[in-house]
Formats: sequence, C-alpha cells, structure tokens
Amino acid sequence: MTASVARLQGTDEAKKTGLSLTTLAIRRLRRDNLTLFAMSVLVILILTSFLGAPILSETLGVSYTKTQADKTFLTPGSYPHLMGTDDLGRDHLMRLLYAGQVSLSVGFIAATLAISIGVSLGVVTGYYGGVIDDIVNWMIATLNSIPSLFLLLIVAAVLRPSPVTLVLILGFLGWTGTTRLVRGETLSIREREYVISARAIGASPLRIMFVHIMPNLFSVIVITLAIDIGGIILTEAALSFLGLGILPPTPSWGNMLTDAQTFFTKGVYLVIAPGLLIFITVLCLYVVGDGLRDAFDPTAKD
Amino acid sequence: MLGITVLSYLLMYLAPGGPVAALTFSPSTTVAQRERVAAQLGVNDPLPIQYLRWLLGDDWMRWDSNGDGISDGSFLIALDANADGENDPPGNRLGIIRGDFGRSFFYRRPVQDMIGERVAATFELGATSLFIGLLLGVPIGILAAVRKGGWFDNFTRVTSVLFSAIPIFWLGLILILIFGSWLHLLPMGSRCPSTLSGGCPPMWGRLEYLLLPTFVLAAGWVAVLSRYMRASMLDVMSQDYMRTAHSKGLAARVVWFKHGARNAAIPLATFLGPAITGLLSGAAITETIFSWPGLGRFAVEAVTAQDYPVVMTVVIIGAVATILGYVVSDILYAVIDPRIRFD
Repeated sequence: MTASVARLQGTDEAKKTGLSLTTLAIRRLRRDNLTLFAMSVLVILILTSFLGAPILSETLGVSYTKTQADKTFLTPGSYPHLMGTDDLGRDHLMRLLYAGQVSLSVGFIAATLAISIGVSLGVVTGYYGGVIDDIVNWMIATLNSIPSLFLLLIVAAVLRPSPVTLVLILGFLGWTGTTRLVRGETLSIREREYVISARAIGASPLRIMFVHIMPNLFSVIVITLAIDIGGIILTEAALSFLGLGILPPTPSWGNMLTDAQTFFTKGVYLVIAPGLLIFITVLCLYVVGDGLRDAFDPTAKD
Repeated sequence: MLGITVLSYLLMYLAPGGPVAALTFSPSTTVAQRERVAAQLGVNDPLPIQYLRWLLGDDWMRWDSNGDGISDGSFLIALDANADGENDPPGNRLGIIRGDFGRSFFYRRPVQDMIGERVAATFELGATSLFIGLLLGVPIGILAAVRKGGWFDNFTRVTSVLFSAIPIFWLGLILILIFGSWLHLLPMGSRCPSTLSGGCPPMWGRLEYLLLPTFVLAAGWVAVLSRYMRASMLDVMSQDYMRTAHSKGLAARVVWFKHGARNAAIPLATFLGPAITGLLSGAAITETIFSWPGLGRFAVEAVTAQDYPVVMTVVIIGAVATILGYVVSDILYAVIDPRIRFD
C-alpha cells in the first residue's frame, strides 16, 4: 500500500531530479549485475535456440528429426553429435534447441495473452465495479477452486492440443492472478486527483483507462509478465511431461523428459539436460522479475 | 460450487469419445444396438436434463411405483426412451449430490468405490509434506527475518528462489536417479513394498517409500512458507509492541518467539485454502513420477483413458476440499486472532 501510494505521488528522488520513474528504474537496473546477468543468459538462450539451431544444424550436418538406428545413445562429446543422441539416434543438442523454440514461444506468447486478458479485465472491473466486477470475481473464484493442474489436464485432454491451442489454453486459464492484482491497483488509482480531474473535464472512460490508468500499471505489468512466463514454462513442461501438452514428435523440454524417464540408466544426460534448461530459464525469469520489482520500487534509495 | 459442477459437466460434454463410444467399443455392435444404448444412457436428452441426471440422479425422473421393473411414471424424460414399444426400466442413478458418481468406463466399477483408498494415499502424502513444510518453513522464515541481511537470510532466500524455479517432476526424476538408481538406498517409487499378501504396512513401517515424494512436495512448501513467514515477521518486528517488549528488557529470544512469531503466524491461517489446490496439483505430478496410488495419478490416468466419470469425480472432490479449506481458514483466522470478528 505504501509502495503504491509512493509510486503514484512520485518519489522524493523523482521530484528532485525531475526524471520519470521509468528512467530511474532503467538507471537502477543498469547497476544491478545479477539481473543483467540473468537477462543476458535469457537472451543467449533465445538466440541459440532460434538462430543457432538452424546454423548449427547446417554446419554439423545433424538434424533433430532424423532417426539413426545404428547411433542410439551416443554419449555427449562425440562428433558431430556434441550432446550425444537419444533413444532413436536423433541429435540431442538439436532436439534441445528446437524444444527450446517451442517451450520459449509457448511461454512468452501464452504469458502475453494471459497478461493482456488479466490487465484488460482488471482495469475494467476496477474502474466500473458493479455487475461486471461481480461476474469476473465469480469466475475467478470458480477457476481458483479447481486445482489448476487438474483443470489444465481436463481441458488439454478434451482439446488434444496442438501448440497453438495449448498457448490459448494456458493464456485463457492463467489470467486470474493478474486480474486481481490490476483490479486492486486500479481501484486505488481511480480515486487519485488526476483521474477525478480528468473525469471532471469530460474525458471518456476509455481515455481515462488508457491514458491515465494504464501507464501507472506499467511496472506491475512488466514484473508480472516476467514471473508469469516462468510459471507458464513450468506448467507447459509439466503438462507435456504427463503427455498432455506438446505431443511428440514435436520436441519440448517437458516431453523430452517423458521419453528420457524410460531410459534412465542408458542415457543420464537425456534426463539432466532438458530439466536443467527449464530450471535455468525459469530461474533467470524469476531473477529478472525480482530485479524489475526492486528497480521500480519508488521507496528504494540509490 | 454450482458453477464448478456446470463447468466440469460442460467440459465433459464437449469431450471426444463419450460413454456410448466407451461402452460399445467393439466392431460387432450394430448401429441399432448403439442407438439403444445411447437412448438408455440418456445421451440424446437435452443437455440440461443430462446435467440434472448427473447432479441429482434420475430415480425421480422415471419411477416404478408397483415394483415390476418397468417404469410407470416419468417427469422430464420419456417413459420409453429407446422406442422399442416398452417402457424403460426406472432410473437408478442417485446423482453426485447423494454420492453416486457413476461408473468408471474403464474399470466398470462405481467410481465412489475406487476413490476412497486413493484419497487416503493422497492425504497421507499431502498431509506429511504440508506438516514438514510448516515445521521447517515457519522457523526458517522467522530466523531469516530476525537476522535480516545476514548470511542465513541470504542463503534461504536464494534457496527458496531455486526451489520455486525447479520443475518438480525433474527434481523427482533426479532424486530417483541418485537415490534409487545409483545408490540403491531408497525405492524408486510406489507406496508399499510389493508382497504376496498384498497388504500394506502402517506408515512408519514404510518410511523409505514416503521419503522422496514427501521431500519433493515439501521442498516447495518450505520455499513458499519461509518467504511468507519472513515477510510477515518483518512486518511484525516494526510494530510498537515489539519495541515495548524489547525496552522492558526481555531477552531477545523471548521477544521474537513469544511476542513476534505468534503474531506473525496469524496470516498463515489464510494459507490453508490455496494450499489444498496447490497440494492436489503437485500431487498429480509427484504421484505420477513415484507411482504413488493417489488421487492425482488416478486423475492423470483417467484423463489419458478418457474415463470421464472418474475425472469429474476427482475435480469435484478437489473443489470440495478447496472450499472446505477456505472455510476452515476463515474460522481458524477468527479463532486465532481475537481482533477479527465476522459480522
């Protein structure tokens, strides 16, 4: 509460320097080595899986789909299969990278979708209240009282998802937290003097929501986005692991572990690598989320 | 609650397969037979009636007042639904309201008969891990708050972020790999040692089976609870009564644990409701990895086998448990904290 009031009123520092909160946040972020490190790890991961995969595939002459009956369970370190091969003789490094494309895109797109729904519903319910607010709250209560993974399992089983429907499912079921957060913020912003004065000079509700309320939600949105992407990547991996998310032969970090589980003793690296990548990605996203929270915290002193 | 039943029923209604396909999955059944089965099951009825049958049963929709096995009165549905010229047998479903969850397509047994042992297995795992989570998480959170910025605080914060970012199914696999496959110290899964008699020793007789799954589930709880407790404790430590207690010259330990921790623990009461949903979600994954015969694994198997009565039962049980959790939370909250009164 104190934090949001301070943010809305502007900090002493902001008043002194006349800089916007975002400029200050970026300045703080530049000095936060841990967050910068996490960000660069993420960028490297994204670049290698999207750009590196086709290039490496060309230069090493390996493919993530080609099965080789005579070259199963090659251990990492062999050439040209740098990370070895899996139970069907497919190149493990290539599969990891292409799985990365799938897992990362699912995470980013689904989280963006969830946040968009969450923010729009949150702003609308917070601003108008009344019947819309009641309906949305009822929906949130209903969705939240079913264990989320059960709900996802059912929906995934009913729809037999392609990656696209999976993104839609994760997006359409993942907005409740954001909505509650944004609704709360909007409720407090709505009562600020500048919103009242905007209303007094006849600004339309749409204009108030977009011009006066949304910019104040920027930090909340960015922080939630980082953490949500991490959460969704974990959920997607769990679903795929249970055989209900991304389905083989499309690789994803989650379903690679399902296969690997069967070949515990033959290829330990097959178990370790995909999980490690999920772990690193999610960890970096959480660290970035935390770093952003600190950077945007108006009560922070430099 | 009604919302959940409507939602889960709608989802099932839209699902592929369905009861007729499941019961007549044999190439020798003719189209006419299929249709008879369909009519008897009532799948051709309008959706609201099907929903009512599932929720409230159908013994009041078509009844048999003279006891000859052929119905002689009906309400909402036809007396002769399969159109063979004879009145159909009376309805025999009681509806989920009266504990009739239907029959599993896959096992051909009433769902309520199979669910009991699985609820017990999940309860055993869930309660143990929640208990361990509380036992470790709460003191860790308090100590971290008391020594804010110290090495213990930093260490636990880093560990808690690490544990919330780790995929629990991967953690489970790695643990099985290390303790089960390499060191041969612990069993690789299942709830009981497999014996010829088929009996299961009491919990303390098979702790080694409980250890890994409990660790995986409890790790998450310790992470969440310690962070929660730390924030709550920091909040309490800035209160006036804490300063008063310190200035009275009480030992720091007494102030922290008697005055501080008790107040900081109050918000934990609100934790029970969400904790139950979290436990069930976590259980689905953990039970699958460790072949634990519980509710979560049952649900995953049922979803894969398109065994909808089972899936719906598990969802309803989960929802009931969650709502109970929230109610108990609210009551606990009022009991623990005399300042809170519900009007």
